[in-house]
Amino acid sequence: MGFHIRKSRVTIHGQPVHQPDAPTSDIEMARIRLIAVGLIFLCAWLVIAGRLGMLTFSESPQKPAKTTSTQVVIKPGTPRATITDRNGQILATSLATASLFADPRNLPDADEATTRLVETFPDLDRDDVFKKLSGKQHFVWIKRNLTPRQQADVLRLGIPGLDFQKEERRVYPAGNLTAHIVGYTDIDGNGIAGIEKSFNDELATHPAPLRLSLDLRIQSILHEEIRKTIKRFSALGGSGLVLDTRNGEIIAMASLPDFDPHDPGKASDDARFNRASLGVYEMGSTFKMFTAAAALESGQALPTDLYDARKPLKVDRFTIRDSHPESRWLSMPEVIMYSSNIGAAQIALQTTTPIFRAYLEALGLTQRAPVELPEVGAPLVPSRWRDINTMTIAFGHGLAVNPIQMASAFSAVITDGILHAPTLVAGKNDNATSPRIFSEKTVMTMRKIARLVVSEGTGKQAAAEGYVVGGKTGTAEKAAGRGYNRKANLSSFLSAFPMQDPRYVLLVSIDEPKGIPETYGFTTGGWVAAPAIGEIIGRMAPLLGIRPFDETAPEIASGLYIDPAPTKGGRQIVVF
Amino acid sequence: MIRRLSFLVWFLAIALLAGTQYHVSYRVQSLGRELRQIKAETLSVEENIRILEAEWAYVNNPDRLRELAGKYLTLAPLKGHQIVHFGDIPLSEPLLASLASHREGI
Repeated sequence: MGFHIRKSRVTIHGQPVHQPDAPTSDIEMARIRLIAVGLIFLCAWLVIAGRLGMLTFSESPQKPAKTTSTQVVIKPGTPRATITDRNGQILATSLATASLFADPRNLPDADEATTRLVETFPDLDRDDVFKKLSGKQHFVWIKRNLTPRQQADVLRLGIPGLDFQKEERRVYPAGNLTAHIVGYTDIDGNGIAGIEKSFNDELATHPAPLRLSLDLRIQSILHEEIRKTIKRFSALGGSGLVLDTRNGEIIAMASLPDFDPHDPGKASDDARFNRASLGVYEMGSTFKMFTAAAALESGQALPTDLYDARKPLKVDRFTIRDSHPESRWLSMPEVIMYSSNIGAAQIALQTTTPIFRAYLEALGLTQRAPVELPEVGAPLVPSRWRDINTMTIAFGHGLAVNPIQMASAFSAVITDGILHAPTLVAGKNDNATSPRIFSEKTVMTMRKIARLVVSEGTGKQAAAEGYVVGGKTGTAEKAAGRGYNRKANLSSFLSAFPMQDPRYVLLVSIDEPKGIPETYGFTTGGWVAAPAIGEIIGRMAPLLGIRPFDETAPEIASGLYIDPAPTKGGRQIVVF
Repeated sequence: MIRRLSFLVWFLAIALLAGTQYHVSYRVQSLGRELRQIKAETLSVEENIRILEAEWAYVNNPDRLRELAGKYLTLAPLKGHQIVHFGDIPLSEPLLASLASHREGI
């Protein structure tokens, strides 16, 4: 701008004014003008050069190849995340496959194309295909997720207007083994059952594998033993659970009958039903462990207390009987060992209904288990909890819970008195803290009682040599209409090992076993589920690095011994 | 003279820059192609890895392994009494003694 000002100054000061230095200033002005113009051009050139450099040194973004007429949105790169067991064994993964679609407007001859496609894929319906191919859309699916061979067959037909789209297909290498837990997806890859559903968003967006708490080896053992037991007793089905006592992680969970997760549509509703988490059952005598633990911890009962089991209890219109009556006064350990309903009902009454109920609530038996599955059954809790409810719940009738709740509550009773939230995700509870429900004293007594059931009581057949098994049998009559069906049982065994320091809790339940000659027609938990538990523990312990113990060694044998015989001076409890 | 020299210098500089730019441009293009190719290869290798992992999981399915073991091996699941601790081996001391005497003999 400087030169304009100069110029104007010159013109303002009269004209023609003779200025001695005029030639010099003219030249100077010209120079300045030139420099200014030069600078402007230099800037413009620099801009152009810079832009040129940018274009040269960076790749222009690739324009996606235009598809001729279809309007397909291709899913962006990352495939749905893999699901693995705790050891990294794959339970679910996504593989790329080709899916066949057609653009009917580019098809020269819909009729001929239909004929040849149906020849290639005999499972396609001719009318359906023809309707699709003669339509006016730009895009119709013909068949999803072809095998490479099928894709080659279609290519060989050479029909224009047919094309493939790369798609993902979910595969489950473990198949039926983990079908109920892992779940399955619909054809578009959205989880619609199991972990696939509850973690759908995470699996779709985060590429890192999801590591479950399951151990496929243990799962396989549990699955096989339950399958054998169901077959042996011609049962309707069964379920099993293995739980880590230290953190509530579910190591194995089986429900039979099961299904193929690649084709869930083919399976019956019964097969797709997860008995271990969705089913709620009146679990029967296994509940007596909670009854005893609540009574001891609340201070209402002592292990030496005696209960009158000489005759059935009559309350209102109910009669509580024992299936194998001892017909005498029983000590608390004897009530559990002989599985006396009469005794258990009195122990619960002695505890009093509000306290008994509060303990069951603290053990998570009255709320839905907080496990990461969409299919978790809510317990059936009596709407009005009266003393009669307390008495029947004491031996596992009148409160229906699912096996996960049973196993995690039992873990609290015999491990450290702490209820760990059951989980299916590895490492989930590593930093979680839970309140303590039972003191060490109660836990030690309950361990002794659980050991007594296996060493001398109804659970002898669960004794896996060297692994110091303890537990409680349960034989629940299944509800039928308004009463109970004595012939239809749910036979279970709730156990833990090794009892001096329990590491794993196991629960096996068999639905409606039929008596066989080898068991003298019995279908009780002790005859049906206990042997399966013994087999499972014997096979899984070496895999989990638990060494066998000498069960007769004094520190184990006497440390876990409780004398069930009524001691003199025990309080005779009369609650009626 | 000076003007000519400066013209020459500028000409050479421009020619050099143009040449360099041409070279760099082609180099970038070829690297870009290479990058795309490597990306595509990576994707296909990743896909292959997924397939192989799935296959590995299939062949290691415990049910299948058990079936094969039952068919080809004469092994049975381990029982508790079959596992013995090193310290529990009753022969350990005489065995050690005999080993020691053996060594002395040598």
